[in-house]
Amino acid sequence: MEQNTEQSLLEWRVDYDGGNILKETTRWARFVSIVSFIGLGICIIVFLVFLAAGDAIWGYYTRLFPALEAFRAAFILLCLIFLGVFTWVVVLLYRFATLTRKGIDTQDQNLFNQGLRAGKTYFLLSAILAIIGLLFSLRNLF
Amino acid sequence: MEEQNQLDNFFNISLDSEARTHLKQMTQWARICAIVAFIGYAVSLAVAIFGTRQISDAESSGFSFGIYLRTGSIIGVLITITVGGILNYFLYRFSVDAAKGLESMDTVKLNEGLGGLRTYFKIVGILTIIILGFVALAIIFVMLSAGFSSR
Repeated sequence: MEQNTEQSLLEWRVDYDGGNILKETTRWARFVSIVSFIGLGICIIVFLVFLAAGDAIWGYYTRLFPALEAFRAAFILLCLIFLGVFTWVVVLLYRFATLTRKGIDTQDQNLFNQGLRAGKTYFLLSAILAIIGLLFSLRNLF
Repeated sequence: MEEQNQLDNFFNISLDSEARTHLKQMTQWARICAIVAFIGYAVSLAVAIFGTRQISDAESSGFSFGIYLRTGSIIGVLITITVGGILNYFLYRFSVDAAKGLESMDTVKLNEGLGGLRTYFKIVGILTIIILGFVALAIIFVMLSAGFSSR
C-alpha cells in the first residue's frame, strides 16, 4: 500500500491544464519582472543623479527639513540596501518565470525544479519584506 | 502536431519530491505574505482613522489642513485596501488550494491553486501597466512644462 503511494507520488505528472496554467503564470511573472527591471534602472539613474548632483540637491532638501543633514550617510546606505534587495527580488521572479517555462518547454525536470526553487525564495523574501513593512505600519499607529 | 508535442511536454514534467517540496514551501510563504498583507491593510486603516502622528507632524510644521489630510489619507487607504485585498485574496487562494492539492495529491485542487497564482500575477501585471502609463504621463507633463518654462 505504502509502496503504491510512493510509486504514484513518483509518477504524479503535470497535466495539460496545470501545464497551461503554469505557462500563463510564468508569462505574466516574466512581464512583471521585466517592467520591474526597467523601474529598477530608473531608480538607479535617479540615485546616480542624486549622488552626482550631491550637494545642490541635498542642500535644497536640508533647507526644507534641517534634520536630514545628520542622516545623509545613513540615507545613502538605506538607498543602496533598498536597491540591492529590490534587485534580488526581481532577479528571483525573473528566474522563476524563465526557468519554469523553459523546464516545461524543453521537458527538463531540473530546470523546472530550479524555477520552482526561485519562486519559493521569491515568496520567502516577499514575506520577510511584508513583515518589515507591517512593523513600520505598526510604528505609525502609536 | 505542435499541439500534440506540447501535450507530450506537459506529461514529461513530473511533480517529483523536490518539485513538491518547493511548491509546498512556496504556498507556505505565499500564505504568510497574504496574511501579513491583510493585517497591514487593517493597521493602515486604523492609522488613517485614528493615527495622530502624521497630522500632528504636519500641524506642528505650520500647516492647518489636518482634516483634509485625514480624509485624503482614508480615501487613499480604502483604494489600496480594495485593490490589495483582491490581489492578496488570489494569493491566499493559491496558498490554500495548492497546499491542499499537494497534500491529497489532487490534481484538480492543485490546478485551482495554480489558477489563483496566475490571476495574482495577471493583476500585478495589469497594475504595472497602469503605473507605467501614469509614469509616462508624468514624464510627458514634466517635459512639456520644462519646454514651456524655457520659452
